[in-house]
Amino acid sequence: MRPRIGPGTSSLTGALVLLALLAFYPAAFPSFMTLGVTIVLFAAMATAWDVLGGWTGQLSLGHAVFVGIGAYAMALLVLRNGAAPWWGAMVGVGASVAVAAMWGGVTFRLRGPYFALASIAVAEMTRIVANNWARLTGGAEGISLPGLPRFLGLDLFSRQVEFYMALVLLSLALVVAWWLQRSRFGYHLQAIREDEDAAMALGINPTRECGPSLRVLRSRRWGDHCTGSFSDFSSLAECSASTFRSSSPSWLTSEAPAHSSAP
Amino acid sequence: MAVNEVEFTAAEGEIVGLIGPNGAGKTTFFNLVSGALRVSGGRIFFRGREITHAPAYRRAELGIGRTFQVMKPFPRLTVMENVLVGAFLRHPSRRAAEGWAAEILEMMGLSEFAAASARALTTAGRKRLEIARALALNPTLLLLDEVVAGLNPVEAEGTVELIRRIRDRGTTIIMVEHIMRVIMGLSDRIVVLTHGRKIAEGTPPQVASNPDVINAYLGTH
Repeated sequence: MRPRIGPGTSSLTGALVLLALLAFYPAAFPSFMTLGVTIVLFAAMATAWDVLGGWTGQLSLGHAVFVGIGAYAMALLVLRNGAAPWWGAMVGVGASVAVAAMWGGVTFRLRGPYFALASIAVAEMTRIVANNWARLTGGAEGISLPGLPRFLGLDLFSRQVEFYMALVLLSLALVVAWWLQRSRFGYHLQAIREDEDAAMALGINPTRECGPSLRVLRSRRWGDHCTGSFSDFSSLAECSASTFRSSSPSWLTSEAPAHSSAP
Repeated sequence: MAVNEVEFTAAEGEIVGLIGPNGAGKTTFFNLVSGALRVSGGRIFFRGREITHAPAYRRAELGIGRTFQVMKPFPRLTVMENVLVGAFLRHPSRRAAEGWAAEILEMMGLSEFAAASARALTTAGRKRLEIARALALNPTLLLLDEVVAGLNPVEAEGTVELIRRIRDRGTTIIMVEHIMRVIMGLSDRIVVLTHGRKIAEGTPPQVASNPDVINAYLGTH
């Protein structure tokens, strides 16, 4: 018998079935699209968070920082520079990756509760800056987008489009997670989670391995931004007690007409 | 001080036994050599290169493999995956790493458990898995910390045979063991520690008849 390596086929089948079922959500629940978009986005973000939290066992309570930075970067570029949202999203990814690299370089030397506390500290510092640098971030009121150009002919403010883009993002996140888990990098992360001393005795450098795991998380965010769902990010931020309140315009939290401007 | 003024050399392909009463500093010595603990003084050399301040993962890269007295399998991974983690160090390609891991499992008699969860193994199986994982690094120096203790006579004999085979592949072994019959039979040379200091070194017969060693183990009247 060939030994099982990597995630079993049952979990893969389960994920595929779930994604297939979700594809019918807009038809089945047209009145609950905000809920649907939120659920799918949170599933994608949870999958991404799992690369760090689930595989290395490092409890990060400050992921809202990256969500917020990515969201702000895109929104500011669109608003102030007139950039297309997809270019803004890519810059947002870059900004989040840069912050992740800086943060990880310092805090990945910490373990367990010390890392968790450090992640709260980073999130809290960023929140304070975001709330008080009103000229850039809009402070507590946040910033909002007046409208977005069509992307491949799609209305980015349509709830259905948002839902399916979120579903694509979730699918991508799951595929990347599945692939990573079977890779050398994935096994190294799992070994660190299981026992760091034993992992180091096998030639694994925890600081070097965990850094990319944080950046993997960021690099998946572009899809989130393409959906324009700031509100969902800020919900995540609030959940992790380190919110960017400014990134929560109401134009997406309600079933408001598309292209409405904000709070 | 847990270990103080301990100095000895292990020649390539040699089995060196490290013995001493409980609390003598044997496992601490292993932790210092493998990089799990930092030294506060003194120097450590490996194949002519100073590794005193090298982190544990760097020492593994250089060719120092180890097992742990308190076994540390990766319980949520299968037996194959446990070995695969180490195999990736020498074989970055997945296919090559899997091949090497399978070879190690075969050598360790663990092939039939490859798909089993590591937590499902017996004590003897886990001890073999510890050795297998260290061997996956293709180490030049292997530190074995009580890999025979706790095994029944048949299992112990099997493990002793395995250690001989590992040595025959050219691997240098330093081993800690409390079972005198085993360590005296396996070792080319014995180093004796007590209270963190080396009190004797020599061939097994020399050490067995050393009055200081007898005193350390049995005490004085």
